[in-house]
Amino acid sequence: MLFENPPVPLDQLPALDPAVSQTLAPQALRVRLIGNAIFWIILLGAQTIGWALAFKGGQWAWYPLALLAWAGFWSFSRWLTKKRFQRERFALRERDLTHWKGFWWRKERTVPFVRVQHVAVEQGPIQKRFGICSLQVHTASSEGDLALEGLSLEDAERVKAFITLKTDADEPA
Amino acid sequence: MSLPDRPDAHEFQHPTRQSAAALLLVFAQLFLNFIKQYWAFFLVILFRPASNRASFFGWVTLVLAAIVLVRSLVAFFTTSFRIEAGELILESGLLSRRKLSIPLERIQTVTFQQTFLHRLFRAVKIEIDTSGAQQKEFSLTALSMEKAQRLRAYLMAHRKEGEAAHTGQTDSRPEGQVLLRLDLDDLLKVGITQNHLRTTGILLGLGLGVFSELSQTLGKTFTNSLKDQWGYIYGHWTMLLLVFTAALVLLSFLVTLLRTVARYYGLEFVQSGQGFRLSAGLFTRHEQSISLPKVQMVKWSANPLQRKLGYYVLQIYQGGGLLAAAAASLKAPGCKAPQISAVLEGCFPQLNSEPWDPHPISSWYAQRRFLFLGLVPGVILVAAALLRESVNPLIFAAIWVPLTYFWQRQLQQSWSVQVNPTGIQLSYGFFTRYFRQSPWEKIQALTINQSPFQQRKGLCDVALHTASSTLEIPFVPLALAYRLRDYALWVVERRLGVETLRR
Repeated sequence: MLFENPPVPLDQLPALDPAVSQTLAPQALRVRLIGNAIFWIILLGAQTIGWALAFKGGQWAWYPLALLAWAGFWSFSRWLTKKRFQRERFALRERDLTHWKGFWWRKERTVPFVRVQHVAVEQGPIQKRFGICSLQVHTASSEGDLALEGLSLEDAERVKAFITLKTDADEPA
Repeated sequence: MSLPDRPDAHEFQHPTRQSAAALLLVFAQLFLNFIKQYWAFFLVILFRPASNRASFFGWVTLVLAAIVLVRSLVAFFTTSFRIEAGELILESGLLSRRKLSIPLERIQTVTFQQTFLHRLFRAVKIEIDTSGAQQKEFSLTALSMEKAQRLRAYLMAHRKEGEAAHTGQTDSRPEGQVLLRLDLDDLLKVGITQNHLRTTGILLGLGLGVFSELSQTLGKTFTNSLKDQWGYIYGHWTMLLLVFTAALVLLSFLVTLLRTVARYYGLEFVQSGQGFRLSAGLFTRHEQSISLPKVQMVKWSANPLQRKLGYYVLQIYQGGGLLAAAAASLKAPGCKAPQISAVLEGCFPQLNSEPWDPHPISSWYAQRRFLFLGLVPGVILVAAALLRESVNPLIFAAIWVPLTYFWQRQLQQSWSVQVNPTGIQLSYGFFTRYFRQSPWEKIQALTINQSPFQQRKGLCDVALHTASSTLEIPFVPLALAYRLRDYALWVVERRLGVETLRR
């Protein structure tokens, strides 16, 4: 085969349009809020034990203030989790998968299917209760992996099958 | 497609044990490991020979050493390898037998390592690396040099034939062309121009570690004796600081020089048809190979002194699934411009035959970094000056703030993102200038990051992930990032084009 390298006008390249993206399953937000609540309740336990050890029986009059601060941080964390979820999207195209996430610090990652090493579907106990799972797309670059945390199990299996089909089709004969 | 066996393959078709030198090398390795692990403990025994406690621990150590020694002997006599039905098979273990089979076509590199003891017995340690492995998959402590060379020749020839069968092309590039050979004069120059600050840091850390270990092990007697001998100098801290700094600088310089000579003595950097091979080392001779199709990125750098002498430190990064990217890279110091060109030509011939289109990064890069590295510490210093009613922090701030501004401005201006239809080249650096080059087709994934500030200014950071490392471009306009992303994806995703470029 002769080597060919014709010029490509940049404005004619296929562009990636966030408007065609999709959101995660709505149950994913509930799973994240539950995970968030578990974290803050554990933190409350640690805070109470720490307070008891530090002040040895006294100073409980000020404890409501610490509780108030804890409640404030938890509310903020809940709000941030919701905002992040609202912004999180993904786009499945013929040849690649793109994931947008982050509320203040935004991140967009694209993985071409030709580079996918393997795809895994994982489901934790809380995710299982809500019928959702995580889809992990692995490449040869450890920093270039992509994870969609919060797809319905059926969607994840469909996306996995689609990517696997594309990856197999792209394998050199 | 199965390949016919070669006549010289017969010697590996039957189980082959390691060289007898392996036995001694295992002993030596054990001995050194013990010294490394229990050096402080041995020091205690040395200082307190009459202690019952020390003698008890001495016996425990001896028993432990005997157990590990027996295990090593068993490992030596039960470990063997062979080549059978297109697979390299390693068998080991007495009670639980372990059998590892590696298809020959999966073998990426065969690396030799020679310690001083290996050289005495004309043996080498062999490490075989495969694609997708998280670590060195197959290693033999010692094999005679001749046998090891024959094994490598067989494995590499097998892989070459496999690649030719796959691509339908044979390799016509020259075999074994020496690109660089460092004599002692070059080596000293390379040693002098190394980063001595790094050694200073290592020495400081090492010194503090040893001091803390000795203080804990020997208790108050050690620190008290130090105080007795050195106590008089504590009163003259300025003098102590000066002497200490001068000694540290001199020691760092000498250690870097010695490390460089030990690591790169007899360096030979060879370009072969299939890739590059580098062998070097005074006490332990390392040999590393890089396979051309697996090269992901080439990086070269030079600090001001190296630039003055025309030297570069070259690093070739190879993909292949190794966990640590450093382990998958080949580093050649003391290269000059012709060697850099030869390597770039060899690795990415198409990439370097096209003109570059340069793009600067935003000046906000310098301003943001100046804010965090210059202004914030400056404000803290001024506050400290006011609170402590001292002029010293003010003097420091007056030097630090403009210096940081100059430094960050120069750094931002040094950045250049050069692109052409085949790949990308980044160049940047204030003291040390770095250059990184990679073809678009090597990109595995692509990330665009935006902080709140960057969102307001329409800027972003771009990360191009390859199988060996990531090329990070800070503070580029979002429009340029989108163009880079769309073009890179187009190159990677148009399979026909990619396959053509690979040839």
